[in-house]
Amino acid sequence: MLSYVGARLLQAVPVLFLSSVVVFLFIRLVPGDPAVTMAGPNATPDQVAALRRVYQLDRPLPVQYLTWLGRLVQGDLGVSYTTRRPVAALVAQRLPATLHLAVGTMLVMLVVGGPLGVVCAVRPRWAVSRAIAILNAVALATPTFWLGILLLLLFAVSLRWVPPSGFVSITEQPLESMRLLVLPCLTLGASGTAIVIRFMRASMSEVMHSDFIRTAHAKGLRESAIVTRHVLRVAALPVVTVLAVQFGYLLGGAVITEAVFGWPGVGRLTLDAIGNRDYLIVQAMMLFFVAVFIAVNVIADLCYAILDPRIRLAG
Amino acid sequence: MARPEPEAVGARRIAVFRHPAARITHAVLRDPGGRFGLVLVVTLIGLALSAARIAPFDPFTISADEPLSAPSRDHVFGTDELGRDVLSRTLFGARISLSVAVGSAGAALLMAVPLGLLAGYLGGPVDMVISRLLDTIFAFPAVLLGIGVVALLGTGVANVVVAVAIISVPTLGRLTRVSVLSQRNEEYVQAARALGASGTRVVTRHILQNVVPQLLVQTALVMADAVLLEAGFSFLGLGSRPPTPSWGTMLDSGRNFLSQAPWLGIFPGLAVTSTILGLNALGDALRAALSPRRE
Repeated sequence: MLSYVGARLLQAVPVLFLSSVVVFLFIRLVPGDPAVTMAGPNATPDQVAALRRVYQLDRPLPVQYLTWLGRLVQGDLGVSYTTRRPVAALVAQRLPATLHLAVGTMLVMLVVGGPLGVVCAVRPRWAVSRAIAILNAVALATPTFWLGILLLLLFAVSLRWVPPSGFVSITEQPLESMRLLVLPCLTLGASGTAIVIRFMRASMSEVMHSDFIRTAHAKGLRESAIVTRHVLRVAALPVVTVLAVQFGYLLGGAVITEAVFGWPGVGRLTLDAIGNRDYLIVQAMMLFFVAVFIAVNVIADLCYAILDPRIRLAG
Repeated sequence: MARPEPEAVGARRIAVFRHPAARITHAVLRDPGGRFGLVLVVTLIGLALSAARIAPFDPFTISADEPLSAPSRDHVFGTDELGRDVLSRTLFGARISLSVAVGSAGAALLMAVPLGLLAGYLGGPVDMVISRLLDTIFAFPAVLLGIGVVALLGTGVANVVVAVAIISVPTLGRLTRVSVLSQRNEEYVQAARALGASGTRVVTRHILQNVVPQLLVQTALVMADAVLLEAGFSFLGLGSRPPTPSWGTMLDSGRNFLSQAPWLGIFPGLAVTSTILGLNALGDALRAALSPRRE
């Protein structure tokens, strides 16, 4: 298994390298000069030139790239142009909000999606199961920002059950933090929950028709025991993969949901940085997202191997 | 004695020998989800095409004396903050959403299919380079990638089309590559090669035809994504600009008046959702129709 992880990480190197070059060039192709933005509207050309020198924006592109890469390898992400603070500190400041949102949304998907998926698989002909299937299709078709607006309108503006926006850490004010998390997590989790239900249903109904389940029935085991002890263990595999990939997306910053709920996460940080041409933040964040994406896929494969002993990972 | 009725046997024989396109259409129409999707999509296309004729008002006409009026007999969907008719704007919005969907799916296919064909048929280093390129694009978060492309090219509907197309290239390209790989060693390909057909001819005349069905399914889903992304980008102020009646723009500018005028948020959102619902249902029905597991 270790050799497998090693091989996968080795494969990730060209993708990471390529994406670092792509991001570096891409953000520099975007019209607009960070030095001009930094200097402000009343700056003289000399001041702009001076800023460009300070931030080494006057160097040739290959030199800039290699300097950045060299520092990156040593763990130095550079300094933000607009706030003049270290990029690492800015990211560290935004990560908790994103983690809150990602974990909360995962909980929604698991707690709502898991049991509903089981119901749909075990009792496909129930009216409830059919209703769930229709709701699923609607959830997959609903834009997150629209759902967010509707939920805000209903629960924050009309009913006033929860505050409309804001973020506090769960370690500081657990109750208030959860009240603030409910709507963004439901918004973000709706489509993910639908995906979990679909995978759960498909994977469980496949397993339920297999030979070892027929044997379990023949042994006279109760259905609840068969479902929980035999079917779920095998059927959970594809669902775990789906959840892992969803978690990766969630860490990638839910830009639109963050905009609707005024959530101070990494998505907003990146969006603002693109707007301000804050090159080093954009480069760091994009590379972070790509790395998370690769890591999540490797973890999903590992979960497969751990949950299903029949799968052996070739190195 | 159980003897099959002659009509039944005949009917089955006809079903087997029908043209693939006719068989797929038949299967989609037999699936309730497929019927639903098809009706929804065809209706939307019809509404978009005839928007100028059926819209009760001009979508741009500002009427200062009736801003934010609730749905009534005159204004079935109400009016917005500038007194414009929401129904008319929603109808014209269908044009933008569907054009973006068709445009970006077309552009994505134009980029992805040649890449996938090359990677799948040639293999080796070409496959390696193309596959890593697609992996790299795929690894970026879709929305941020799109925002980057729009920042590079400038805001506007045309650039949203380009952004959505680039986002969709990896899925379509990988699908093409995998389909080609599965076809490459089939007997009909070997036969064509044995008859002296060139590589280009084998790929464009023989393999491509057998990849089309899979691409069709994915194209419907890409179009659904395109509608979603266009609305999202316009909502973030990156797509079409006011006063263009795009569903995303309508939701964005209506956002500040939602507590007094919820209809500003409800109708454009319903339009987006039903479009995506229709395209998804159609895509799923097509997939089911093409699935080899079907009896």
